[in-house]
Amino acid sequence: MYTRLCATLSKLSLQLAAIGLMLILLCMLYMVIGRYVFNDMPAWAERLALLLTLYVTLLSTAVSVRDAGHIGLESFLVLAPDWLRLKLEYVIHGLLIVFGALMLYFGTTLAISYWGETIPTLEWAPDGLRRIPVALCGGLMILFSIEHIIALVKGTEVEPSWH
Amino acid sequence: MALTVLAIVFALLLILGVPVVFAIGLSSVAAFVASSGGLDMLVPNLNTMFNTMIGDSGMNKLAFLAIPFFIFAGELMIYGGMADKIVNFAKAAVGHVRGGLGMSNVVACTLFGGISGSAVADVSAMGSVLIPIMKKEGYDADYAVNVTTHAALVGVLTPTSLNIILFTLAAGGKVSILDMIYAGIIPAILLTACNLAAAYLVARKRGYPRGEWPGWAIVARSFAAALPGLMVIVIILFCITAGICTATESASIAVVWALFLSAVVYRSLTVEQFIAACAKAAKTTGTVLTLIGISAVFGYLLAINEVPTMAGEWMSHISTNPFVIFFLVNIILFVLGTFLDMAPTILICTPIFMPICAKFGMDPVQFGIVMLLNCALGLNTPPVGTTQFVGCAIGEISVGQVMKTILPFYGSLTATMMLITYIPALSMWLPNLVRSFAVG
Repeated sequence: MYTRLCATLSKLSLQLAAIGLMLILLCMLYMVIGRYVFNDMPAWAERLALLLTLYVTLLSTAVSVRDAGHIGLESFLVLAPDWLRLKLEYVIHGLLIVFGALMLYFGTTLAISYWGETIPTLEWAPDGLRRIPVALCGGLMILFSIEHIIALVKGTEVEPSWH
Repeated sequence: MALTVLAIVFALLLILGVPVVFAIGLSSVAAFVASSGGLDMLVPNLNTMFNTMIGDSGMNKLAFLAIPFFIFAGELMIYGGMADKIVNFAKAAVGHVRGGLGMSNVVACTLFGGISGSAVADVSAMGSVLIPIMKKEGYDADYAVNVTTHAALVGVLTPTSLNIILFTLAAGGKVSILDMIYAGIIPAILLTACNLAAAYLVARKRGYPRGEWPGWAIVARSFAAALPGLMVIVIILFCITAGICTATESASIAVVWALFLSAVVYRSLTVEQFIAACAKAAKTTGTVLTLIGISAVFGYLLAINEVPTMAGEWMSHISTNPFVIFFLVNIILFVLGTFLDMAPTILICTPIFMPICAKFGMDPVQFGIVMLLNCALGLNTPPVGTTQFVGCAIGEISVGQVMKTILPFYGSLTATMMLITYIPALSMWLPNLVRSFAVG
């Protein structure tokens, strides 16, 4: 049940990130077309692309925590005996939960405190929107790290849910 | 105090196996805890940390967007079947000399590296086609893997290299992307020549066979088939050099070109493959940009603790001879590169070593190329030799067996690095020439 929830969240996050990447591409192309075809440099497109980048990046970061996709120095871990490696893996996921909790807390408080301001050239968008992905990433990291700990206890592996 | 905590916690977490991005983040938190002296200061410091991470000095910079687009274009090229067309051209062009398949491998990896801009992607795409063919034709697996993994390293110096973008960002605006792109061209050619020489010499020694000359018509036909894919490099160079658009915008145009080629011209890209390319590009984007964001915090901590100045003074005590200093920097970068992946090495070491080398007369652009070559060397060296691991997995051979016969290839890479380090013109002549035309 918990694994299915995490798999669904992971798949949804990566799908949103992929869609976000396409939207960023459209923003960049619109900037070039705007400049050469409409003789207009749309500043909002640049700001929107940057805002979307935060969502694409941090959602994908959380997914990579679940899929073990982040770059690490695993050689020492591989060399350790099985009993020690298992304990170290608990510690690693515990540390990721700590960092995730910090991201969740500070992302949320920063989003609230910046909600009254707007992003320059995107008047409809509160500046707090730029901090939400930090909190989202933190929350997802906690869920996915707990999933990894459960998998370690059960002696199973967490499989990537999408690509 | 904060600096000691930062260094110790970072090293411990790395050894423990915590992913680099979170090792940097957690050690930065520990350094802030050590320097804050209480919750009153800690909370604003951590607010600053997360704001820096997502801010203009962190991951939220327009120039960074070139990175996901280069990754995306590379993925589309891989899924779109460019690899086969480049292999066919390389085999037709150089397959007839002794050790022909090895030479073809070098040429194919170099050309594909120019398109994908990633050594790892290059080894995956080219290696999975060429290594099994070479083994089938009687070439030893260690030779096939060494040729592929070393030829693929040229990808870090070519115009689509995301590491070039990473370096310019880590250099804090002191280096232009265009200068770096041009600076990488002659070293890339030099490295290819050295790789070809190493592949040929080993092939002669082991008595590998010659291929047959297919005739100019076949060479021309295979070149014509590969040319549209190779145009990605031309598009990027032309768009930036002519001032038509920025590096980021030219990268987005490269994506559209790659999509057009794969889906319309070659008709080899399915909807499923397109979605897979999107997902993979998004995932890699997350990994790289978060690392950039967190490294900005790390860089901020290094700067306020005056680490670059201290490192410079320390090295000045060892020697004041630029040749010795550059040699030392090469050694340090190589050692770090063997443990860390390219992106973290570039992001952490550039702010420290670039000012030192500049003080001793090395241009930041030349330093960038030296840095990229050192990191490339690290990619083929255990314990964290990413391209080597991928190559060995494809060749079904152990890293130990590959390391036994790596010397000629390693030698060619080291020779290139020494030449680039001590002959500035190799990396500086072309960007200076382009600049002089622009001024004129």
